[in-house]
Amino acid sequence: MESSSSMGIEQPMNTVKKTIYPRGIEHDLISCHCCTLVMRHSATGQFSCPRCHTALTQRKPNSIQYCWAYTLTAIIMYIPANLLPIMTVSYLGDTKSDTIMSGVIYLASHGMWPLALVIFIASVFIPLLKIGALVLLMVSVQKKSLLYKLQRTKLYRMTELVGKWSMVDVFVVALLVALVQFGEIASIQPGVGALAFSVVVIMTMLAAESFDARLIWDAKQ
Amino acid sequence: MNNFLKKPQLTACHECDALQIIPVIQMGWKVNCVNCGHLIMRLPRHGLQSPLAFYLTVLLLLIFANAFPFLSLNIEGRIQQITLFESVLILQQYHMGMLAIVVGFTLIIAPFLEALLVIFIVLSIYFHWHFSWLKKSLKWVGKIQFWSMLDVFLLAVLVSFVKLTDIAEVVVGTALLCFVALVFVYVYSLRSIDFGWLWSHLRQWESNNQ
Repeated sequence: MESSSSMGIEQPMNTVKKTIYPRGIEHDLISCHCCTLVMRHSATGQFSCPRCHTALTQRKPNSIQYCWAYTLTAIIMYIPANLLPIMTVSYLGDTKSDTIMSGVIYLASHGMWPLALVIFIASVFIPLLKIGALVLLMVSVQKKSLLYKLQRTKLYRMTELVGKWSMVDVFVVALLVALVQFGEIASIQPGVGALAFSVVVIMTMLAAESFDARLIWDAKQ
Repeated sequence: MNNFLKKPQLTACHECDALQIIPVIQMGWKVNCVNCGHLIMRLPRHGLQSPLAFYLTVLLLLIFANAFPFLSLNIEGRIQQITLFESVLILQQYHMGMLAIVVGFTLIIAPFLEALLVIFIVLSIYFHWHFSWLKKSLKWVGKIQFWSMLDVFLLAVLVSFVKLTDIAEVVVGTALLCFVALVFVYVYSLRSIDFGWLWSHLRQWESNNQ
């Protein structure tokens, strides 16, 4: 009884899940970061790719350190990005400063729910999600975690894909500032918050770029 | 012509380092990593003509989108009209030079450079022009592509459009129509180009020369 039930559990595990593919690092093969050319590393003794002359390294050099540096900068800049005004609106003598959240609340209170949702997802939710995902990925790589390798790779891919969409708010500020220039009737000025926010977005993009997803798969028992 | 991948080639997935062989595939096919599903190679349906056609359209629409007024705003008879480049300049007037650089690079410089470089690369592969610049531009074009954010800007235009209709009358300029078309073509043109495949063309040249 016991053996047959354990067989029933183990069989799909062996055939479906535990397929282990040969990896470049185990066979002394190195692939160029730029042009994906695969070559035998120790035999050639070359330091740059013969095809595109990019420096040859097994993994992106100091990937985790760079990634932490960018992510920490993004976390620090996230505070002024949300506290400082992204733009100052003067309309018929009234002056009002807008932060990212107050913009979302304004839209929502004026019945523009879909738009408020778009801005909320792009400017608040995605940056936080990205920072969280990057921290999770880096900690799990540093702890040499063996769990959920495929899911973590997919998380990384999503982080990379979604990155640039947070720039929406910065572009909105740029457009509004340029368009609304009517002197005393109405004018919009850019705020420091917009700059801080664009730094957050750029830093998270750089962090995702410098992270090497192969490190996830390098962890061994 | 080199319209498909002629020889199977060894590759190590760039996201999980799994070794595998890309088989001989037809145009319009794509190859995903056996281990992690990362898109390793996607061949455009019409060979080198696809990226060329798409990026020529992108270049043309980019020129139009930058040449004409983008949006204009009408408050009580006073009209404010801007082109894309002016919106960058106005940021600079408010002492937001850094922001102007970010916006200008992601919306104007990067897309233009990307389109020009891709056209240059595809033409020189097609006609076998051996420029020393070819490899460098193929190396840089992917990095530039990473920073071009035309599609994001379309969403930003929509958002500011809705925000402004409260205060004033917004008039859609010629450039905005071009820009909408541009974004759709641009998103498709991203799918029509595969840098790994373009590099494999160069490898064939080198093996022919030796």
